[in-house]
Amino acid sequence: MTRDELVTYIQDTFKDTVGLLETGRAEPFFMIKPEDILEFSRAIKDDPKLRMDWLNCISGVDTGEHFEVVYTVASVQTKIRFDYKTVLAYDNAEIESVQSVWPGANWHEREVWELYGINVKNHGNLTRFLLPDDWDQGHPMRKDWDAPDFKRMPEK
Amino acid sequence: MGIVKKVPVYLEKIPGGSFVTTTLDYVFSQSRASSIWYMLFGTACCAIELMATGASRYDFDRFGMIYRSTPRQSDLIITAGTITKKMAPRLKLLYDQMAEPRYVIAMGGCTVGGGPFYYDSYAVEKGVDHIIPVDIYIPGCPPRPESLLEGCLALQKKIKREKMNDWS
Amino acid sequence: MASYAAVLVFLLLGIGLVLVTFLTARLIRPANPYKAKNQTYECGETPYGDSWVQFNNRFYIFALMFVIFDVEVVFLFPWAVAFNQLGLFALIEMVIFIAILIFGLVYAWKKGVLKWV
Repeated sequence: MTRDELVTYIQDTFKDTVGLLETGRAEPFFMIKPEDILEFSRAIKDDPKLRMDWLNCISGVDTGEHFEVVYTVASVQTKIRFDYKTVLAYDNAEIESVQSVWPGANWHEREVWELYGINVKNHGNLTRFLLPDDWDQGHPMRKDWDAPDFKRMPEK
Repeated sequence: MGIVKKVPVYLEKIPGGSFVTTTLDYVFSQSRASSIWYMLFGTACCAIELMATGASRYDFDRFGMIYRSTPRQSDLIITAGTITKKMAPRLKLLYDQMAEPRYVIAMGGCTVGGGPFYYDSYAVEKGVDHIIPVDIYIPGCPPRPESLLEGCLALQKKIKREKMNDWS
Repeated sequence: MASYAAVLVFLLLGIGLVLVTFLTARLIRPANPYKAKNQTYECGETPYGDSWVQFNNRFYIFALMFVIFDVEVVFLFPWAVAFNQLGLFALIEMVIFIAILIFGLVYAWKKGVLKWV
């Protein structure tokens, strides 16, 4: 289906939970509330017209004002691809794990926890694995993280 | 090794002994410089340039340099690629497991001083001389094979200047 | 008896060569052992687990097959050298010998020993 067909189909099927973001990119980008993530993920996987069976990645973002978690999903069978994200506040940032929908989300969620500190409920194994073994300096990708040998690019 | 360490000192006391010492210096250092076996240590993009330099157009073998996979049989470690904080203890152990005389060439911007990862990186060790002592620095991102060859020739010149008195 | 003296000289020269090279190398080379250097090599990681692992017995069987056919070749060489002076009897006898060993090879082949994986 074309991009517009996809957008209209998703907006009709998930009326309240989805909001379309205008990014100007080729693939649609939707905004979801954090509590609807698991249900939405399961629905798009099971939907016969979408069949999104491939989770490309889960990324964390720190915009300076809030956290975001971006899910990029694709379908091997229908060749559709789109992204959706949630916005989380800095305090008590938590999302539900989507491992039951796509088992490959295990490591992505572990990475999001490790680098941002966003807690993932029902994950089962939130331990450090990308950073060095003796890492004790917190969650490095946050905007307010600092370390003695860490230098930010100076403003021009 | 205990006997040979004292030989240059005693040799130079004999009249004409320093001729022997300098000839032996020349022989040993020339042989060491003409046959530097480097360890295949490539972590990132510079490894591709290392492989290209070892391939047919910019050959390493004509300088006597062949690759060895294990530090036990190599004289030189060319750190080709970014060294992260997680990799640093492993690199130190690999350097420790090389037999003397051993040399290090820091290839590429990341190993010289952080390179493109100097700003805004939490995981990169900014400069491989925080971990192991370096003999030659080759800047570039990645350095062209000609650059790497010039660095190896500079290392050969450095080895040829060594004297028996300085052996550890 | 006199020709055996040459063998003794060669033997002593051989032993002497090895001893002289090892001794010279031992005197000249630097030796600086310390704990990290003497550790077992494991690509930079600290060594983990036992290094005495159980080998698959296909290695043993391949080596055994090699030894058997190598000994067969050792018997073939003098026969081939003196072939012109030997008669028909020696030819038939050697053919029987090779046939017995080929029978053994066919047996091993059918048993699946030659398949490496």
